[in-house]
Amino acid sequence: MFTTHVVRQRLILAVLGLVLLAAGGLGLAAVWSGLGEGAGLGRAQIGNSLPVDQQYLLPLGLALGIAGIVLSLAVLITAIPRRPSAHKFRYESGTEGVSEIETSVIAKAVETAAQTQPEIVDANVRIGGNATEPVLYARFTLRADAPANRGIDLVNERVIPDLEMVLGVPFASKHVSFSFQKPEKQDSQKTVLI
Amino acid sequence: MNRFWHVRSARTLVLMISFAILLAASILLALSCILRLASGQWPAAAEQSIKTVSGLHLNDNLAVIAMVVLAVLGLLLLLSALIPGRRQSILLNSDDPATGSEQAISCRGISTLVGYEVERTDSVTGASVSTSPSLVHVKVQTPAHSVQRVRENAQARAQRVIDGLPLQRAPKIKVSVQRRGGN
Repeated sequence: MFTTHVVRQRLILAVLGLVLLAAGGLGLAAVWSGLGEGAGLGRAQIGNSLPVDQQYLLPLGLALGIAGIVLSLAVLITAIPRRPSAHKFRYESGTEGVSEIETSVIAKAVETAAQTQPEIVDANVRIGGNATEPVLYARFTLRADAPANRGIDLVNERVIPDLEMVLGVPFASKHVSFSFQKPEKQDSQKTVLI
Repeated sequence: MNRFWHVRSARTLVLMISFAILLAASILLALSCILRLASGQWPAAAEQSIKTVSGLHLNDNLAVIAMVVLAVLGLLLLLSALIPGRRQSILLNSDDPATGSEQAISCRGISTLVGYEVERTDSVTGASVSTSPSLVHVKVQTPAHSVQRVRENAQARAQRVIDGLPLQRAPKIKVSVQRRGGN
């Protein structure tokens, strides 16, 4: 269960693609159109601006290198898929004082409880948001040999309402995914006719 | 409501490969400059590269090849950013963005479910299933001579599975049968 930033990552890719395309395209256009050839600029040396040991080459290279490192690291670190972060919900009451709940503990309890149901093979639950507007992220793997509807109804009518009861508020948003897993042993009630 | 499961690919792998290459190039560049500052001369590889670039002409083959490579890479990156790509899940009837409820079944899960059912069909010795939001493609292996009957049975079973799921938009089913084994 991982989250990625689709729009941001695609935007970065588009910008990088445009920069490379523009650099390559403009260079090729200059070659093919014979840009400046008549004016004596044909076969211009790329290296004219990059002579060895000129003073500006070193600071420019260093600046570009460091900027490239910082930019690349920033993009790479933010692009690493992450699990929705677990939270500590804080409840304040005039009569009972302040209490805190680790959502990861509740999520773990829900996973364990869900797996005791015959229709559910595996459960992966995270609770995000805050105490007044919790957000559910969950993936349930159902048995392929059990009716799919029964497993889905079980999650929607028992597992999630129970979780909302524990938290004391309904989820502000629920993100639930279902998958299926084959049983280890296939039944042999079929014939192979040749 | 921002969706969590029913999303298109974020192109994370492409992005990471591109920026890992950029990072490597930047480290090499910065390191060469630092070594130049520290020792007073460029490292051998850097000096060779600078000499090559210094002597390069815009019309030289090497420069043209480099520009073509840059343009093609840029085009590929741009296309990968702009082409939406498939979602890897199908929404359920119970999905309701208005109430903040996202509910989906993964395409892989549907493949598993359909594959399990089709493999239980008579005369089917194996089945592989690939699922997209619009199509479930079932490849069936059978030793039977009557391929048509096996196809019909497999199609009927797969259709029953899909019809039994509370999907907002059911994918079509395509069954192809491969005869393997038997006489």
